[in-house]
Amino acid sequence: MVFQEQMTTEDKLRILGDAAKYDVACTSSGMDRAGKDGYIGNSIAGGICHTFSADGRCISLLKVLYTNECVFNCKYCINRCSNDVVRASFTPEELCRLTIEFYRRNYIEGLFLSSGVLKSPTYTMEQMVITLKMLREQYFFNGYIHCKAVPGADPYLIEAAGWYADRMSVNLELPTAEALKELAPNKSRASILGPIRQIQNGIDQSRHELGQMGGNRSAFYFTRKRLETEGGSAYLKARNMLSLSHNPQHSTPLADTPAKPFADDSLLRSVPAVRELPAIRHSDRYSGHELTMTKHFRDKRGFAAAGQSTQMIIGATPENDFQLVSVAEALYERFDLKRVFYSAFINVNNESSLPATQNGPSLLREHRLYQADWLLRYYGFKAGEILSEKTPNFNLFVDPKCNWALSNMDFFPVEVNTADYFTLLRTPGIGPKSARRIVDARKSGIIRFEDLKRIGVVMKRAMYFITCSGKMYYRTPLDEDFIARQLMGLEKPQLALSVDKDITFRQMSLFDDMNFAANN
Amino acid sequence: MNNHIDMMIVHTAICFRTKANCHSDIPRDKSLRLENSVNNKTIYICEDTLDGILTGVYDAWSSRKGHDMVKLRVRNAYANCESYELFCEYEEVQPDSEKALKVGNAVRTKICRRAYEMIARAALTTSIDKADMIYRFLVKGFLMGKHIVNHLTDPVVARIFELNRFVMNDAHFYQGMLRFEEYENKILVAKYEPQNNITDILSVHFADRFREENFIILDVTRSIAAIHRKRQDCIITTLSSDELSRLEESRTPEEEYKRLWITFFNTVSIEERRNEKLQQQNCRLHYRKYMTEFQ
Repeated sequence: MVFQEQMTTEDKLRILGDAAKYDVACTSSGMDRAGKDGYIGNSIAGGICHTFSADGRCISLLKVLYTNECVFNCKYCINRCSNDVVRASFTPEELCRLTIEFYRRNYIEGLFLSSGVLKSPTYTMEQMVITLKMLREQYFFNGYIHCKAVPGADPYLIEAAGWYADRMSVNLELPTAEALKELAPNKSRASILGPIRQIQNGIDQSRHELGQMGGNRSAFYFTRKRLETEGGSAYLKARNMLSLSHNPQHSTPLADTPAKPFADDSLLRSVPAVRELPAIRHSDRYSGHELTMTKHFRDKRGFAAAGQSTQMIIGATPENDFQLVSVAEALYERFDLKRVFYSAFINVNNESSLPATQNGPSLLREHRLYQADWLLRYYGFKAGEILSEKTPNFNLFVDPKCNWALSNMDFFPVEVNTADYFTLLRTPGIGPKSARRIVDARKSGIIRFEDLKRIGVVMKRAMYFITCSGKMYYRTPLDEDFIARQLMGLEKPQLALSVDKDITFRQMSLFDDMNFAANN
Repeated sequence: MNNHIDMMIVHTAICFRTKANCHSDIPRDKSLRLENSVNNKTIYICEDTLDGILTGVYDAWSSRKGHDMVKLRVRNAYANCESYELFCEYEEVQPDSEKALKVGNAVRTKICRRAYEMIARAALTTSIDKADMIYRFLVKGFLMGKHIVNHLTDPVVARIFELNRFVMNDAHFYQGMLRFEEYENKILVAKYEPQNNITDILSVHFADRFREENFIILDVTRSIAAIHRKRQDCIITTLSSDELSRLEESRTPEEEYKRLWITFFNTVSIEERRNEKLQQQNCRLHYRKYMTEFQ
């Protein structure tokens, strides 16, 4: 290890900002909080992007590690203890001053604080809590703070951090317990799920006691709730009752839970779904620490009011896409997370036991995962509908929603003037905003194709799937192959730029991975 | 001989076409009557503020000329020559805050609050047709009531919706892209050149965020400044060139945090995922003029 004395703040910022950049969680959204006299800062629920870095990602928080010294030796991490990198540490005052001055100049929306493990998880967490406390109470910062919990730290410190921060997260790192054991031997599944459960219980309790200050629930929760109260998509229900679909996967009724891919991952399966949980279960293997500091904080802010999120590394281990999406869905259902982030694996250590990424990270796969993630949270899909055991990987050429549409052509065409909200959402080219506008505009008149374009529907995709007053835009044969070819024609230019370059040697035929007709 | 007959035909035609001879030809339908094509449209030129436009609406409506016979336009302060239409009369509208208030109240009560917000934001844009679109929107709005805001199938409503969305997106971007610099006496000054006149909207956000700070947000193109004193409301005012130059003199060469920010900005990007096109798509070039990291 190389130590440098007398490092300037600029050097530290460079080292610690560089070390933190692989942590992709960087939203400043989650809750609204007005400014207060005597304090600096407020919070906007929609989140504000302050700038965009050269890789196109949004920067809205000062994303740094408290220290990049680490006693753990995770194989994928650039800061692992067996790497010979320059190590640095902030002092709490430095970090607070940086945050406040950047905030005053409107460079950032808040602070994102993570850390390598210095001496021990509990010691590191203590340093982070000291920093956050100083920022809130001595520097009077009222903006957004996102804090990463260190797995294995004392629950008391995790609770303290949750009171000072707006969003907490614990990195899941890898989707299965075996993968985690192999790549990050110092972290265990229990040491990660424990804090997640603790934070979840804390948010629940805080919301119960403090009301709106405790923040609101995730998009996933609201979509599912709306889906249930509205009775779900009327077309889907009708189809399921008549069992028109050949695929046994798609004929499961809406109320069923999706197929569980982790027969051996008993840790994940044994945790009951969020809605079934009564108040706090003391017998729950992971809980055990209730909120103890409510009295002290109740006038100031809720516990982790902007919710919880997590992050998974994509591509380091050989799980298929179906497993990843199922894990994400399980996390949303059972741990009530706001967001799951996916980080394409980059082999920074040139580790031989991990896949090589000289040709760049698998960005297309990450992109498809985010598309599937949105389908889960905003469009009311289930993981079993997007992928299945038989088709465990994403289609390279069309996005997951079009893929579902093409595999379920009996669902279409959808009549725009009479279909309900969730049926409209299932149509390619129509998203939540367009669907809502269509439903609203319908009240004052019949909608025609010209109006749809003005409303914001992507006609290039949607025209194969919708009718207006019974007529289709062009006389399209409702044939999967024909529509698939048309849709792929739209995506091909993007694909050429972003496709994984290590598959160029394969003779790419148009109908390689697509089994639309063979889905029987 | 032929000439004489031609002359006679032409002469008759002219006589035939005078108003006095046309009684039997007057169609029942008002819009087809000759009178309308003889009478000219009136174009009301309004001042480029919400007050001005609403006064224009009031005047145009109360002139009782008919909605098809009037048109509203905003006085274009930046064009060197106005473009004029043929066969039109032009009338200047003097902004009157009472009249504007009457129209505003009518909109809020008879249509809905959201409609008022939409036209207020549409008025902040620089589009040429905004005044006329607001007028047509209000005509329809008083007819339809509060459902007008969802009636996106109508082109006028769609246009107002577009303008509204443009302003809101612009304001949201600038909430993040505005950059403050510290001048003398720890006063924070931010300059920007927005396409729409959104200083009003931004001042509300920053007054809440920086309650304890003294700051100035300066719209360079329009010389409009929002001035905030610690714990007081914002004042929106235009600055004269004297005041602008005095402001420039008090600028300190503060570099430390700018440098730190640029260091952070450059470090945080992942080289393996470099994508300048995506960066440009998200952060358009015209926002970058006053942003520290893109200087």
